[in-house]
Amino acid sequence: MGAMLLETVDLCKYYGSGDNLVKAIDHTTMDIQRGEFTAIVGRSGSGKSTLLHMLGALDRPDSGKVLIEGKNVFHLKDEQLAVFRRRKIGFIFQNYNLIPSLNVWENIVLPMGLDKKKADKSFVLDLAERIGIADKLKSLPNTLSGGQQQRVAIARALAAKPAIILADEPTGNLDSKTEMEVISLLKACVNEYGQTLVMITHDETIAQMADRILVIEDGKVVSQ
Amino acid sequence: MNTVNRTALSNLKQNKGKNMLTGIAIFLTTILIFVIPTVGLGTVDTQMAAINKYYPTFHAMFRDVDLKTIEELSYRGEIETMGLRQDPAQIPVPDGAGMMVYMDDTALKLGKMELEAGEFPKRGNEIAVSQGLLEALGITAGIGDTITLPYQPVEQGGLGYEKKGEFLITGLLPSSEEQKETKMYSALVSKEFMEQEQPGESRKYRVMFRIQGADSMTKDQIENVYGKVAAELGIPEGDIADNSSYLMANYVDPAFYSGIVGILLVVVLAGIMTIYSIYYISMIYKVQEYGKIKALGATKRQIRQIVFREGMLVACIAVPVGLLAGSIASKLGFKYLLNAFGEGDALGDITRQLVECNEVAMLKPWIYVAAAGITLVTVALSLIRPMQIASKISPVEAMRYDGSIKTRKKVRKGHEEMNLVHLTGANLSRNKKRTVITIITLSLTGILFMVISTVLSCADPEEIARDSMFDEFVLSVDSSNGDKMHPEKEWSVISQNNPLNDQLENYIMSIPGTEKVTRTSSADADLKELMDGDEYWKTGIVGIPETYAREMEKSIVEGSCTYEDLLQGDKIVMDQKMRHWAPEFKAGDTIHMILEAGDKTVEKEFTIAAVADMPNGLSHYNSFVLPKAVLDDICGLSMDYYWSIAAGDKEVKAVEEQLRAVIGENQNLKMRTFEEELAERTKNSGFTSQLCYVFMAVLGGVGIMNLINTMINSIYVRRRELGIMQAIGLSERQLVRMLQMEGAFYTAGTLLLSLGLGNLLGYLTFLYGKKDGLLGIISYHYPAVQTIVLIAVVLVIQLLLTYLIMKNFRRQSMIERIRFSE
Repeated sequence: MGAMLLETVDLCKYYGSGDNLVKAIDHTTMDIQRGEFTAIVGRSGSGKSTLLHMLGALDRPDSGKVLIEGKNVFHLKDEQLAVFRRRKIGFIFQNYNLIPSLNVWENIVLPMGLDKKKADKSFVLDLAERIGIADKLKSLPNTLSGGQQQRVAIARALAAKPAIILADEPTGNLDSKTEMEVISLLKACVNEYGQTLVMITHDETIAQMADRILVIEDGKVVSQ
Repeated sequence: MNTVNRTALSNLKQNKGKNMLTGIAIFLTTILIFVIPTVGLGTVDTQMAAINKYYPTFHAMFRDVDLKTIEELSYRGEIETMGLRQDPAQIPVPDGAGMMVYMDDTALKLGKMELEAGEFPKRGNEIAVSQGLLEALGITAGIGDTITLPYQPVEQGGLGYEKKGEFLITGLLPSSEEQKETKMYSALVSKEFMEQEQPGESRKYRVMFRIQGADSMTKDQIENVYGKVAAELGIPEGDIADNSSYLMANYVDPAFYSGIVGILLVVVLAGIMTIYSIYYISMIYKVQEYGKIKALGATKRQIRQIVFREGMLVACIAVPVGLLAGSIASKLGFKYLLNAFGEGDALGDITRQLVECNEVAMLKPWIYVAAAGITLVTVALSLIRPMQIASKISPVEAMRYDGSIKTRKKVRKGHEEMNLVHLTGANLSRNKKRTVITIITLSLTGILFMVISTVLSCADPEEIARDSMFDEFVLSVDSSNGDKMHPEKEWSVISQNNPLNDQLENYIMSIPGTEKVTRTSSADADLKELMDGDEYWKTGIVGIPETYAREMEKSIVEGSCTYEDLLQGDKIVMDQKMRHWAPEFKAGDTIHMILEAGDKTVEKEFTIAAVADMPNGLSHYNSFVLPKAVLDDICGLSMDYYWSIAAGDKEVKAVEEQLRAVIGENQNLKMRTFEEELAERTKNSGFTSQLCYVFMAVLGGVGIMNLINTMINSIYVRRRELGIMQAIGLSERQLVRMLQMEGAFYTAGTLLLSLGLGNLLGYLTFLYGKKDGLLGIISYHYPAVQTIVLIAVVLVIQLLLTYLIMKNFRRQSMIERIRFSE
């Protein structure tokens, strides 16, 4: 394990006001090391997703900081943030969230395309092979099974070789056999390419596979 | 309120944006559907009312009808009303005459007889006279005065001995300039006086009458009806006089009504396409909601009802507002229309008066009902498909529905490298059918705009005026054929003492500034190869001077022939417009004509040497052309009819003054100036184009609603997708560029289709218009300004839309967008 990669300092995000005030993230301070596999667990509504969105610079906090490689990401303007995101962070969502009009290959290389970079073809092919979707590259997402779609989403997150992979319950919609396959695959890839993985999960078994487990309750990290 | 209605109502509130758009589209459609027939029929009605106020309203008059025939006439079902007139005597007036006229009450009404003051004569020696007649007789008197008048009773074949009588003036008839000029006056007398002067059975009347149900008849039909009555009662044709100015003025071209119906169809079609498209597109993101309602237990029928009622609720708000706006627009539009009538035009003044006093009910209840009905049916038709979609989808399918469109396609060839252009392309090609439908609906208005613009730009007033007048002035014979009241105006009569002679030419050439007089002849002829009912077709031959030889040769469209060839006298050139009535005539055919040459007729055989598309300045609307020398030679006299007179630019006014003096001295001459011609053409075309463009603007509004809806929905439906793209690195600038590219695609597609198809159809319309003389079109002019305007408007709207949508889009955070539907 290496140096500190990701850090939050006194992070706060509230929704609503008065009686309806929801403290989604409440003065959270935590850090994640480079190459670490961190699982974030907690009940529904505990603030896991909000935390992940902050880590991935998708949403701005009300106060506090998110430091990636020592740099406060929210000092960046929206435009710079988008560039930062596509270079440093790969997202995997529960609903796969592939672009329905693009085929599998196009979905995978889209983040690089948006960065005006040429896709590393052999790397992506290699990745597709590993993940087991090499024969589906021309297929449209709606013709794939859930497991296959999530594999594509994983390939998309990994293809640009970002430093951090953020996964929000990536196996939430999969059956248990597929779930284990996908997680193993994800973990193996992350290890192989030296990436940092932060994953939200409900599943105790999956959490146990992580290097570290963060438990969130009412917007606060209660145990690490 | 039951659940279905409550749901529909709350949906209405929920989908404010979409319903606002449909509302505006329905509103605009209603306005058009209401305004077009209102203004159209209003114009006809007002014109009719003005005509009825201005002209005597009888359709025709039979002369020399005896009492027995009058009785028979009164039993005829064809006759709606009839009035009697009898002219018992004549007052001798120096160089003229004063007709003593008796008219019964109906005749007074039908003849529009009005008194300036006093009452109509009723008893004995009462009389109503005009101040003009009194002056002509050298009498000074007023109402209530008794005057002594000489008169000669009308007798068989002439006038009887002069008598003297004492008359009590009871009323004053209006005096007119015309009476003074012609020295023909009239005085109204009582029935008693008439019967006293014209005793017994020999008395003959003039019968003025109106035909039953004439409102729905054409001029020809009316003439047929009374022609038949006259024939059956043995009234000779020479004793029938039609009230032609009234008949002409009352005649409404049936094409006018078809025109209104045609325009309405276009509006209804555009309305259906737009409202349908708005509902169809917005249905995509409503599906989830309907799925939920379905899951909660709504039946298919209830879902259909909810969709239908939501749509109808919008219409119930938009239609009345549209009708209200339409009423105001009609009133204003009509005021504007009125200004199109010439200043000082008597009929125009009456029309203005009628409208200002609200004497014509322009806003008709049935149009309100019909417009509301048509619009509601339009909305209902547009709702059928969305109702089906909403009711067919299964609850589970619907709840999972995330706005992505299911295509049957399984694979996509795709691109190896991704960029914004490929991304945009992928989205547009995702549902090609929808993309194409959207572009087509957007283009419809554009195509229509281009077609109308082409026609309007081809109707160049200056060109059309120049086409019908080669020089500054046309001096021509003022003749009118077939007017039984004025046989002296027949061309065959005037030609025997033609005012357009060498002497006049010399005089005109002596006017300083006159540069050239080009003399053209004209003769009336019967064409034996073509029948008009029982008679030969009446046509005209123009005899052109050699100066116009090239002009004529240039205009030949079929066959070939030179001016030289025509000089032999056995060949003739036919104008293309003749094809309208005789499509079978072609070059090489032989035709036989009976030419009217003064008091005799000449029969002549011609070979049609060529068919020409001649400018009106050359043909003067005649159907056949010969060299002037040939025509004059055949007729055996100088048939000069049109003189085209050129004048130096600086002297135009002075020459005009002199020429006016010439026609002032001769009743059989008239003149038209280029200035008048141009002014009239300009006024007409300016008026037509303004109307057309206003119509297009409203229709364009409907189209814009469609465009707004398409853009908003294409983004709304994909908000999650766009959120994800942003999450994986699509910057906002890239997002805007992507949306702009999409917009540009729609814009380009719309413009290409509008301009491509619009120009093509426009050109075809031009060809048709040229052939049929639509708006006097002569040559093709590309509507460049309109093209630029169309491009600019579409571009500006597109850019504005993208800007506004992005502004709205930013309000929602990326997380909200990604979470949408989770």
